[in-house]
Amino acid sequence: MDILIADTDPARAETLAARLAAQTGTGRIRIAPPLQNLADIVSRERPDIVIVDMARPDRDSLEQLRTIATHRMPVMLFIDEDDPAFMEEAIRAGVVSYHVNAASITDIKPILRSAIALYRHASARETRLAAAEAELSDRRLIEAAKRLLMRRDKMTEPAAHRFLQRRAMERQMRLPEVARALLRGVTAGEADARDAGETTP
Amino acid sequence: MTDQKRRIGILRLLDCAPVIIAGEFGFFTDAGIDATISIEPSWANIADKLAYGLLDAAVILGPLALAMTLGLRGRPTALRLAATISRDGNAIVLAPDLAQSADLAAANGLRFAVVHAYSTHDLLLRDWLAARGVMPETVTIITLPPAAMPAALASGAIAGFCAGAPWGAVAAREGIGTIVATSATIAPGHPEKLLVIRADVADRNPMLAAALRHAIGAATALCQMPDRRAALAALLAQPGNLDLPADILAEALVPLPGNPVFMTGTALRPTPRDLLWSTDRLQRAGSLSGIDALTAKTILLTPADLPTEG
Repeated sequence: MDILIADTDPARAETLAARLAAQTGTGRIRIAPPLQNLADIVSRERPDIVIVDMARPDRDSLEQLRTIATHRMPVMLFIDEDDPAFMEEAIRAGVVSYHVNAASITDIKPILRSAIALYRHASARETRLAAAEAELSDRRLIEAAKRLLMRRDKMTEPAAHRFLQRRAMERQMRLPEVARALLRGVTAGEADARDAGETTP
Repeated sequence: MTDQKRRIGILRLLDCAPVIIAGEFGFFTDAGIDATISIEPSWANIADKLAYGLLDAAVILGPLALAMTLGLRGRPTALRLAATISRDGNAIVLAPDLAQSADLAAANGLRFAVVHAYSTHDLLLRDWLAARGVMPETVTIITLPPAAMPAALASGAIAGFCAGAPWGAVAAREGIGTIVATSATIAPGHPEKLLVIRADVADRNPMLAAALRHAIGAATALCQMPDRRAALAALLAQPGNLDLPADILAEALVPLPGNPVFMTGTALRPTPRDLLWSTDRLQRAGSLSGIDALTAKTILLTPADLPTEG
């Protein structure tokens, strides 16, 4: 089995290469050099399987079925029709595999499974956590700003929402940023009035 | 509507801007949609995430939506057209010496780049080549991310490309390439970016498509206001959004040939004619049979809020 690893993270690529070498025993395992077009590398190296990081913007180049087919080298996205849960797991982890020659499901699946384990363990989880946290704090900010407007300026909830929207448009800012600025202004003002020495977050 | 979160996938492209604007200005919230926008690095990601339920909706190219629905690209995934967000906006750019050449058919071994095998860009390029007497089958068409195209043209790796705004203008400004045709000259008014919803999600939420059109419509209306252009460009230019230079974005928002035309109001409703634009050309390219085209139309154009005839 000849495996090509196309990862945006060089350290993770090395780890995966070592794991797959231990797992598959025979065959070649190579790491695609970064900043080179994926389709070019694949047509040159002709691996059986390509493990691809979904963060790569040039993954689309592997989908040019018609033109690569003229080189008698159809590149196919690996899909296990009978196991959609496995495929969902792979995509959730951020890794997919393409097969160049007629490699079978039984050959590909354990390789992709190792990659999934590694990806899920590393970056994918952190990215999801960071995104979830950012979103949560965005929503909290907007809600807090609305509550402030409703309390301080006796606005209704829809009016507070419209006020923030209008300000976002006028100042070319994101809604959460407008909310943050509003809250910051108020907390700073209150702090000044209360106690000049008190620090605000 | 419901308190369920809707994950909408987009790419960092100018004609995906209405989704970002709708998110930034709270238009999704106004329409009762709890939207999370996911910026993806490739069309393949959009397709895979739609196919395995990691996205509920996405901005997509018509030919790719057709290919997904028919199972020509990855897992067969039924999608429903919710909106035609934009029309036009693409340009064909050639290396300056090739642009001067009168007889393109005489040039051998030409390599062109498009953004995906199943793209409007691929179909436009084929139309344009055919009109100049070049059989599309005789040239090599590769796939590159649009941002990589000007560099590939400069290095001679490709002879030309077809991509959306602002990449044609970027190549022309840097003297790397010459814009020889735009959407407006090849196929004026062609459908470009479409909004699709996974069929299962659309069928469970019959009002979702209309609500999405409402939110997108508020955003596209803003895009059409000349006095808003600079502010929108600055907002879109932010690293968390499109992450492109604000001056280039502002220019691409001006209604000029070669720039995208954003749909507003009822013009956002998808039409059978728009689907036909892609199916006709995909059939000509040999990617689709007549039955395929009919099947795809039945699936893509039967959201609960659309008449099935017309």
